[in-house]
Amino acid sequence: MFGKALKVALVVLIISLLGIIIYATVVFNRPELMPPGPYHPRALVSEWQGYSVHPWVKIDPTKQYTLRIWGTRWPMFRDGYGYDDLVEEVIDEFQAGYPNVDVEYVLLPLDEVGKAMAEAVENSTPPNICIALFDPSLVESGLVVPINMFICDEPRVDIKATPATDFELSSLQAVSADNRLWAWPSWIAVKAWAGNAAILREAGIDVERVMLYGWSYEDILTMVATLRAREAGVPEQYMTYGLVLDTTATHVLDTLMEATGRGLVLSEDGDLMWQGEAIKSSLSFLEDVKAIKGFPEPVHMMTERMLELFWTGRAAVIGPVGPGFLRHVRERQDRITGSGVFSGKETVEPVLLPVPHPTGGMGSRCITVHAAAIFTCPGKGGADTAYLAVRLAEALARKEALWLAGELPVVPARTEDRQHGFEPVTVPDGASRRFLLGAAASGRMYRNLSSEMKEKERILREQEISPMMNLFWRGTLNPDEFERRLFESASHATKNQ
Amino acid sequence: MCSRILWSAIVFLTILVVTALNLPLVVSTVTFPGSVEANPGNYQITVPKCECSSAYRSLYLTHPHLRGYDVAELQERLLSLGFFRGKVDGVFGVSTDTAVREFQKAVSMEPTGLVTDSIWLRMATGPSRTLPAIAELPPGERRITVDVNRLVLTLYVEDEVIKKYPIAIGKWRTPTPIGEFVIISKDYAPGGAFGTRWMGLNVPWGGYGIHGTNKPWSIGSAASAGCIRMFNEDVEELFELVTVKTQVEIIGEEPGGDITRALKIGDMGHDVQVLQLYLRRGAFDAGPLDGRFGARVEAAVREMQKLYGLSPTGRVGVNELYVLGLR
Repeated sequence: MFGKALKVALVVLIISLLGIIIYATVVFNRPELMPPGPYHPRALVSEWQGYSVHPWVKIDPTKQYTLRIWGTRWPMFRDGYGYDDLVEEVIDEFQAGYPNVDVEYVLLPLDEVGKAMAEAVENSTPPNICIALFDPSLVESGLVVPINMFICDEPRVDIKATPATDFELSSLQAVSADNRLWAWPSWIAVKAWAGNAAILREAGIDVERVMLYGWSYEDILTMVATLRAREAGVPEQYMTYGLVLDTTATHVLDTLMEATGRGLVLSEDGDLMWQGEAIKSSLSFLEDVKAIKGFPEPVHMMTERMLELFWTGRAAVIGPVGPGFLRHVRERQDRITGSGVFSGKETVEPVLLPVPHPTGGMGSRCITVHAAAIFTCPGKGGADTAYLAVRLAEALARKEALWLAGELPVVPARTEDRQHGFEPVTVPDGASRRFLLGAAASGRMYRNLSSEMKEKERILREQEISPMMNLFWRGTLNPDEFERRLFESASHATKNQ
Repeated sequence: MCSRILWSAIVFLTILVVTALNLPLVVSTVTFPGSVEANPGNYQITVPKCECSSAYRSLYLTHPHLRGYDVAELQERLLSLGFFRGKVDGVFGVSTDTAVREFQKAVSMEPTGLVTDSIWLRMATGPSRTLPAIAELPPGERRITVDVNRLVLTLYVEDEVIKKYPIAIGKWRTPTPIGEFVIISKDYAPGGAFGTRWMGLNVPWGGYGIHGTNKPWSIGSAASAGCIRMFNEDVEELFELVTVKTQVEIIGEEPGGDITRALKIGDMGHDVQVLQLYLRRGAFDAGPLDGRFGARVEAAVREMQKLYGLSPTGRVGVNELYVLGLR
């Protein structure tokens, strides 16, 4: 009797298990057959893979949620419409779908979001969403939410997931670490120099070719020498200079080293990347330009005259420049054409130019990627709150890119958005536009992955490299001595860790 | 008997002498009707330091004759009152002296021919002005706008207009400063050219303020040395309604001019106002157009520098002037 009962129970158990397995398999392949929840097969698999936030998180419609956003207070308005209006619109659209979600936002001044986020993460009090220059070193805190489950290889009908092919590959690479994606890419900014195409052509430079394929130190030295020969006998106050660069801190050296593929001073293991021929060749190039009087005197103060020399047609190349430079070009053009202001008799054709690379080598393009990262706050909300934050962050990242591309020459990370928001009016000519798109596609972002290395690099730059660059511009430190002192400083810093 | 009379005389004379010596002191402590009230509050009674503190001198017939715009103003006023029949030439001659004496007789004053503050006040026979009473003000921030084109001072609470007052502003050679300032002092003015009240403004390049007047007929014209003049009854009313730190926006022609020097925190002047205006046009929050390069202006400059890729030094040089459109 007992044995029979046991057999019946065993059969029932086996049939039940088979049923569950079949059901789970069907639902796994057709996830829309089962509503979201913690026991959804996809949810269980995601959890097992280490993703607690995924599209099958269940949202309780009776629960009140609150999300906090931190962003940048962009000081740009058009017809009274500013960035805060954009954020309000995104929030309103989001709340139409989720009326039980309150959203608060704080806009911080330019360039201060990164520092504020680092402090917030250290204190375990980050906002739910932060949209800023992506900082991979925050990942090690464990508070950043990976969004892999929301990005798919091909379009899906069962869940709202974005195909990876919608994004520029370089933008996904910028937000990747340990095979995970840690933020929604929003927009890409390209680091570049700028030039006066009119002067460059006179000096024998094929400007369009340079914008497509880059140029070397030798190309620039030849251009500077040509200009010097043309300007022989011209008084200093009327002379045209080959290069007028920003001598502040390490700006110029940063761009030159990034073009050699060494954007970071220290590797993740603490090894000095700026050493040997890599740095000596860049500094020697600058020294050679100085030797043939390609810079205005005094060299260490040429920054203060950068725009004046450019707009009076006396600078062939200036740099480095950011997206704000082309905005300035456009505004200046608007002022000249709109108010009838005389633009001057000099011909200035602003173009964006790649950073030069060492002769005989290949140049590397450098980009920065702004993205919307999602954070979990210990003790404040669980996977459901994070899910809502992921959805809101995606919408905000996309809208910000579209709006900003109308104000600055930045490239939306989503390739299809370039048709809508990337207005040609923000870029003065088609060649510069092609340059920007090409650089955004092939560029690389250099960021420290760990906060420890990030801090070491910051100290090295501020306390060693920046003062040495000041001495270099003043002519009291040569490239060999520079390289030797930097090596000693880095070794000393590494030993003290 | 004599000694008694003698002692009485000595005492009487002593009292008489002592009283005579102290009489000016006694008189000065008595308040007469019509004079400025004793200070009821904690306001410090000081002589306002104002650009329009040029002395209103006493005028009288002398040789050589006194000359000046104040004499011309006196002649115009007496002409409008019907006492002066000569030519308005700014020369205090016999005809002017005669007119002054006739006026003094007409208002029951001693016909001395001497023109002092009291004469100016008595000549103020403007139309009787019945001021509509201000009901209790609604809650909110109070601020003042001075329109130098329309010669009107407006009191606001938040965005609601509470009252408008007619004013006089600076002459062409001594214009009223344009910009955004605050009231930094409030005083009971000692009368005369400043009227009965004084409210000082934080204009960095001079001592300007809002005050009353002893020339109420000048209200509605450009007559002062830069200050904002009001009828005494108006400034007395406004005095009670605003406090120190009340914002005063003086609107008119926008600050203009070139910036010819490098600017940094601590600098002051018209060129700083121009910088503030252009920063504001660029959507950077530079605070009020008060001509002071403070922390707020420095923060706005840094924000502008970061946006346009310049080094965030907080100082304004040639690069920044190009970006702002000043070059």
